Amino acid sequence: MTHVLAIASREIRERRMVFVAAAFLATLPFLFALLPSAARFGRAARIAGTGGILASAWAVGLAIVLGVSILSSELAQRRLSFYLTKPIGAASVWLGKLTAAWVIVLVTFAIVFVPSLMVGGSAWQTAWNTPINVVVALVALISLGLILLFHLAGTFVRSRSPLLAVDLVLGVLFAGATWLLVQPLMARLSLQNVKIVTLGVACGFAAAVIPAGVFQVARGRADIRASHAALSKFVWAASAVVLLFGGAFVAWVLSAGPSDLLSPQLGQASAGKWAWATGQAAKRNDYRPLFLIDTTTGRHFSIPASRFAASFSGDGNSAVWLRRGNLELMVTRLGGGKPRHIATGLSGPWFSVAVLSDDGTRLAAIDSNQTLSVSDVDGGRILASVKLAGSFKSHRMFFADNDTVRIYETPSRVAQPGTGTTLRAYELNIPGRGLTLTGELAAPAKSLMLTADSSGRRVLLMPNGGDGMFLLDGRSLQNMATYSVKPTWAGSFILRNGNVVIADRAAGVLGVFAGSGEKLREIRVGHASQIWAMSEIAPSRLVVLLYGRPGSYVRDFTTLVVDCERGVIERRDKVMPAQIRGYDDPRVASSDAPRQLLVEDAERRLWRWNPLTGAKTRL
Amino acid sequence: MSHEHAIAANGVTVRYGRKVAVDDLTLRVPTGSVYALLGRNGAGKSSLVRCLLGQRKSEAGNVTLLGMDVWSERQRLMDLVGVVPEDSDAPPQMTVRELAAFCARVYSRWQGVTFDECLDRFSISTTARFGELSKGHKKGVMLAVALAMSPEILVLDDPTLGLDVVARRSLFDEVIGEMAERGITTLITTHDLGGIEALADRVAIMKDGRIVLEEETEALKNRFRRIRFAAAPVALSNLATAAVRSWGSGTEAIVSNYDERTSERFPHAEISPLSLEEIFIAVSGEGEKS
Repeated sequence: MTHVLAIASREIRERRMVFVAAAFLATLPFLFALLPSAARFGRAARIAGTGGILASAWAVGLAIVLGVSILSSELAQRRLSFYLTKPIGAASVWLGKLTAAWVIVLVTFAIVFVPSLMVGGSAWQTAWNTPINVVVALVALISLGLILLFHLAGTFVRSRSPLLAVDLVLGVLFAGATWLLVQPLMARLSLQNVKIVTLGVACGFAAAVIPAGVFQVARGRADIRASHAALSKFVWAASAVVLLFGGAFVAWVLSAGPSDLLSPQLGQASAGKWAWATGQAAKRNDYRPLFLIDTTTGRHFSIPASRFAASFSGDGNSAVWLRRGNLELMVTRLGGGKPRHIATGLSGPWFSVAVLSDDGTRLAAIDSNQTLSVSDVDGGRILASVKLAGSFKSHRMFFADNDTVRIYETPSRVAQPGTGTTLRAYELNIPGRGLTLTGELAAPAKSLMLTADSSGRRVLLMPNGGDGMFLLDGRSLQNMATYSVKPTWAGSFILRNGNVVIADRAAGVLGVFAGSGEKLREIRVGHASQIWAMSEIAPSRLVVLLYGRPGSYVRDFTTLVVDCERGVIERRDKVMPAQIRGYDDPRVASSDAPRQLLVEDAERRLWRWNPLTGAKTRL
Repeated sequence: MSHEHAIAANGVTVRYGRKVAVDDLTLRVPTGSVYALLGRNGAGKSSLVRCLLGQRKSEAGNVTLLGMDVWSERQRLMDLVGVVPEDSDAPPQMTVRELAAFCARVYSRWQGVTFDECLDRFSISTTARFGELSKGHKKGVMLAVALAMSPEILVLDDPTLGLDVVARRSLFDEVIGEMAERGITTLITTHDLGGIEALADRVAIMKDGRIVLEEETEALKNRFRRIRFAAAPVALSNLATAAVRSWGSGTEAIVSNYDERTSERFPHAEISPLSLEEIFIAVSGEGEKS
């Protein structure tokens, strides 16, 4: 330490004229403030602003100059032997010089900056809008980084060694490797982690120059070429280690599994075995992975999807999702073998609705311009594209068959000032590329709740806040039956046998109605804030979620398996199933084969749950 | 711990690219001796000295000072080795007084009095900046540093370069002589052969990176003679000739294995001893060998 200080003080003494120059520079803001134009902005503000700019520019410039000359100029002039012929260690030589350079930069920065800061006072805060301690910390770190990096550059260039070509190649490779390193994070829009990796690698690289300088003096001694070789060897080896750490960090971030999700959002296909889960990954900053999960095995993989998750085809073998970054709709084939991603060519700026045909071969999407496009997923061709009338409309849709898209349109709430609303049904004929209005219904409510049966032939319409619920023809919207229910009746479901299940959250019952509107029975399930009929897992066996407590949305839930034919509750479990089928498609989820559901428990842990047996397996 | 050889270089090779500056060189400097390392410019002396001081790693071989490997123990050894480099390397902005203060902080056995005495001897002002000193005064300051740190080994790389006649005489007669008396091992490279002749215990001559001659000074001078023959040619069989050239109407030969019997063989020849400088010139390639 004594030697470090001896060298540092000697180096500082040798450059004492720099302090005089800084003192001269410190007067300039005051001289500028005397100019007549300065009065317009306020002299104090002018002094503060000019002082800050001059001090920062000075610090940056001086750090570069000192970085270039700190060691390499003595090496080039063969004057480093002055230290090497004395009982001074390599670490003392390098650290003494580095300390001196850094101290000179910081002290002269203060000499230039402090007078204008003192005179500028609060005007400084107005001019710079940055706390003083942040400015000092930034200047300290940036100047140190510049000294180190320019020491590296100075040594490499001054040695005139052919090794410089190797350094340039390795420098490009290092930058390229860093770029590749952040690509997976960029693709997932994890910008905080991109920043961490980029800054970490840059700081790691700069920090590597500190021990590299010791190695340089210890191994290179007075020979500048040997010095260059030693520095180069250490820096690039350390850079490889830095990249390995960066890579390990990226791998760790990306290694998050479904069990790492905080407050997960879940979704599941209406048939088949696939589900998705997304959410903030624990301890991984802004990384929000989206996993496609095989509920039979627990196998999962992540996709770089936007936070709007995925929706599945009717057969459950394909998923459509929006890729982050270029916002292109992607389709992933999940049926057998390795999942395969297909870029559809349909890209942003935004999609309000995107659904796949039941076999997954076709994709229909409505973009922000209210243009409905249908594409052939595997062929990559647009099959039909039509502009939907008007704006401020909400749409839900599905493929009635592979050549027909049924669209239900309601005005969005903001565009509906009156008390009534109109539901319209359209069909897009894909081969004919024609959009036809097939039904229209005026309803006395500001918003409508719409549920279609699994085939899409019938629609259950509940005007929000009104009495009664209507069973309509899915295409023409002609009324087929009316159910006399109160506004407290909420979640509804059309069973495959044609019966309709409507939940009364106030009474805590499920009402089972015939297709004609006749009430068949009531099943008492218990009180909750919300009651949702989730899916029909076997004929007339319905998974029902009770969420919250009456009048409160506290996170408390129970899932029931209800036999609607017999009117009994077969199972109660403290789990919450994934949403089955997305919001975009109004059809209920009805599976003809027993299967496992993706659920979360009260601690937000994910499980694969067999609703028929109640067996749970941790994901 | 005492060592037979204060400085030992074993098979040292130094290369600059394809050029071999020092070629598999082995050198032993006995402890307490004054050792003169001679050679023409480019012979490899400076490269060897850099290796001896641990400033450069040789491509092959190793160097020990006081029994310690100079590459790995440089820091420790430099507290025991005083160095006057060929190019005075103290920072130009530093005053002589600042230099002394700096050295006092880094050397464990610094003698300020010795430093001041040495400066007085060369009439050097302590307030002058090093960069403003004459070449000779710079050498003087470096010498003062080398002496004041109480060395066990003194390495002087062409120390008389730039010194005036008085200072040169002072260096050889007083300084180096005093070092020799104190038993401090001194390695000196110099072109001032007249000055070192009386002081050096041993002499080595380098040529093309190799030591071509290494011997005690007295023995060396005893076996070298100039033999001049009035008539030519003369049979010089059994004599090792370092150089043969014409001399007036006769011949002059420099022989390197002279002994008493040689004078008996050539009763009419003029036989005279050689100075170290003349031996150096003959050995390092100036002579015309026949």
